[in-house]
Amino acid sequence: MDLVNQILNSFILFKAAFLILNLILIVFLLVVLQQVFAMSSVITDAFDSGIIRTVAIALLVISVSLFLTALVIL
Amino acid sequence: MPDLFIAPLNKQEEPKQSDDLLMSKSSLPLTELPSNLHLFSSFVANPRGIHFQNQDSDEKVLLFIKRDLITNIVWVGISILFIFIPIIIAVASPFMGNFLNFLPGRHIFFYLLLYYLFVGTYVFVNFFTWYFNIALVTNKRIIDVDFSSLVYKNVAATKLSLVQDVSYDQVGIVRSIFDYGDILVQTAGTLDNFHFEAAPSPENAVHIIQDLIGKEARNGLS
Repeated sequence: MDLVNQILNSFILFKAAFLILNLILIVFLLVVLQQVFAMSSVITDAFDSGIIRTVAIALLVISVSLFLTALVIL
Repeated sequence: MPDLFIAPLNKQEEPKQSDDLLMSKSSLPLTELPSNLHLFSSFVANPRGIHFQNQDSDEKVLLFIKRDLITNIVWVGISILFIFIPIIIAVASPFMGNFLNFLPGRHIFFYLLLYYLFVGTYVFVNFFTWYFNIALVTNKRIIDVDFSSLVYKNVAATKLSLVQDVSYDQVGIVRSIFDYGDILVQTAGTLDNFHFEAAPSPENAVHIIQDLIGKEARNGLS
């Protein structure tokens, strides 16, 4: 019984560590996104600024999705 | 009293040079330099479709300079290494006593996804730090946009009339092979000098800026 509890606790610990790491990444990506928009206003490139912005948003959306999925599944 | 000097009646006007055709004897004309702007461009003459904050309506970008593409090789190499680390661990795991077996498969999968998201972010941050480190030379001024470590942003500009001298240095075998070097734009008085690091084709860039300075000086005298 103790062993089962220990394993369960370690899994909860793994989930908590995962969520904390993911949250740090989301905050970092928010800063990145803000900087991308700030720099795009300084230099406007006809085509490529759009690609950079899209990639930044995509990374943020994926990390938020991963956070929510992990919250439910793990 | 006899005249000592009589000015010629028909003063011939100097032909006006278009900025597009600006060239010097020792450098390539702008029209012969790469002019297609794309995601990985690091040296473009007469780029189309690029604008910057506070650009005048009659101001035209003549040169677009970024660090040479080859300078990204360090972080690209590190990223490739990071991509292969989980594969190496997966291959080596049976020989190391299957140390990951105590974790359920879904935990490993989620951690793997998070790991690659971190790697993707590392690649993206490095790329866009390179992407937004730009130097622009227009027909009126020189603009240097410095951006690093996500929190440092510096945009400096100086008029061409305030530029006193332009020089470049190209030290080392790698710089000679890939033809890139540091350009130093010296400005008048106490104003800050401009330093474009690892700029591609520095010789051409320096000649073009020198031509522009000369042209600006001629315009100032006339």
